[in-house]
Amino acid sequence: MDLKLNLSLFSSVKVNLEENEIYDALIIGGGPAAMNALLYCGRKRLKVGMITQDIGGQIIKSSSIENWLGDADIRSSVLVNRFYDHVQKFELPIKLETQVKAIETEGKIKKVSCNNGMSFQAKSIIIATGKSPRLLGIPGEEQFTGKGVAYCTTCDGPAFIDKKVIVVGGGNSGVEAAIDMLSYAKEVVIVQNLSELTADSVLAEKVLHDSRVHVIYDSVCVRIEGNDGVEKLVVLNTVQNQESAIKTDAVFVEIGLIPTSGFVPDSIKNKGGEIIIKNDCSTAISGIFAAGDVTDVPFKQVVIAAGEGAKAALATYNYIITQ
Amino acid sequence: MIFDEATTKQLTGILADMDKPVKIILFKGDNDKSKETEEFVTDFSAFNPKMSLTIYDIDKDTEKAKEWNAFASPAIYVTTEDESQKGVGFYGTPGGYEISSFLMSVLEVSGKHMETISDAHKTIIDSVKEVLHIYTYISLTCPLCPQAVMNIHRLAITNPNIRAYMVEGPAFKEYAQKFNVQALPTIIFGESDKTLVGENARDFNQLVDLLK
Repeated sequence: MDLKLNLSLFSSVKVNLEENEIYDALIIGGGPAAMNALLYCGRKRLKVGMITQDIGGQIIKSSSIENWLGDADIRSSVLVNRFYDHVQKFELPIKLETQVKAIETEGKIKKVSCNNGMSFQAKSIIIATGKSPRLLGIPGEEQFTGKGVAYCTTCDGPAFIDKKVIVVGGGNSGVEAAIDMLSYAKEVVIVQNLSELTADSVLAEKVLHDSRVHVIYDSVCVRIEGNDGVEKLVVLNTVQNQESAIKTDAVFVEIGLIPTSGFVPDSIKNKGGEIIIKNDCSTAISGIFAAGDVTDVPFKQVVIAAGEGAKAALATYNYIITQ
Repeated sequence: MIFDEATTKQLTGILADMDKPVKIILFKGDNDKSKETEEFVTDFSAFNPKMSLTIYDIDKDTEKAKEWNAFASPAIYVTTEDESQKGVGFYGTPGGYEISSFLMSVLEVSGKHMETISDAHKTIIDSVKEVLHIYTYISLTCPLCPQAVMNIHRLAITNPNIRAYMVEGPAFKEYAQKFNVQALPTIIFGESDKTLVGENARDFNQLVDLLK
């Protein structure tokens, strides 16, 4: 039995993040970039805290990591626990189950406002919020989210045992999702907007040679229809300019990720919503730093995010001591 | 072996914080899932002498099953030594990600509370005067689900009128289909159509609001 213990829930060290304190740095996020930033800030003895919905970031949705140096194949939950265990040694305040809704970046003291009504202050902020699933943006998507429209096969896949499901997206994440769903569903349809799958060939071959998988090419999603749950996905074949409806019990959307940067000022983001950073992870706003997948640094990898988190922390330290 | 050496060490370390003794009750049936769950709770309950394990046969010990509202097997209850706590239940095996919610239930039933419930929330939770059954459908591969399970169990630990159960959806497909579960976690309030799904099911504020 594969056990995935979340150590962060059982931490005996609980230091509260205080609303009336002014921190040297507040780190927003809980993935590898954020945790490494926290670690490095802790080692530099900065007065620092972290605000996050949960610990681990995107990697908790993967079962294992195969490219973390020194571990050929490590369960993601084990890796996250190692990160968290390491960070905990500094007994720093971590505000869990909290989402940042807005930041005020003007002036020397920055303000961070959260969904639970709390707000915190700091001389600097490190944004390391990673990415979130990209939505289809079509009628019916929001209405049926949780009723057949889903964005996580490891979470929601088991709700569709012996059902027919559609996976939208023919890249790596889409094909991996289709492979995941073969453990549960009786039939998987992949809807791809191009004339071929763009996933790595080793992945694509797995689904192309499976009789339970059917790929619909050159098609974009138009709307999702149903009553109590999803019943149909209507697609448009862009070559023939013809709509058709595919009966299904679920639509898994796997068309990539977008930066979780809604609360970040537009002035420091590119068109894709990524935070534009210099090579020391600083941004165009004094005292605002960013690291990991939320930034415009190429190649979104755990090891890169962790390294960027360290760099952001060190740059923040330099910023604080020169203020 | 269900628990490897590293996990055993972690669990034993965390369970050292248990306060009062805790009784784990398993209702097993004639099915593979019950065998797996029996092995799980047998090994788990050995991690701290403050835990004891009682196993009933759901088909033979029908009075006990009725007393505990155990309607399917396997069903686990985490209770106090005097069995007065009847509201912390698990249908299925709390493995995978749910090892965290199971561990949390043992700690909190023992009296070691990991989270503080605000006075405002407690007032609402205490206002439930009739028995209310709450079910959280999960899968063992769902990283979002343990929080939803811990949340409903916290309600049950706060107010004995609330009976809260994790339900391993894939192991209890007929129930998941009956209640049209199409996302995980899904929280269903017993006899009403109140539900919380996905991210919303992890939000303690929204859960408490549904008690109003």
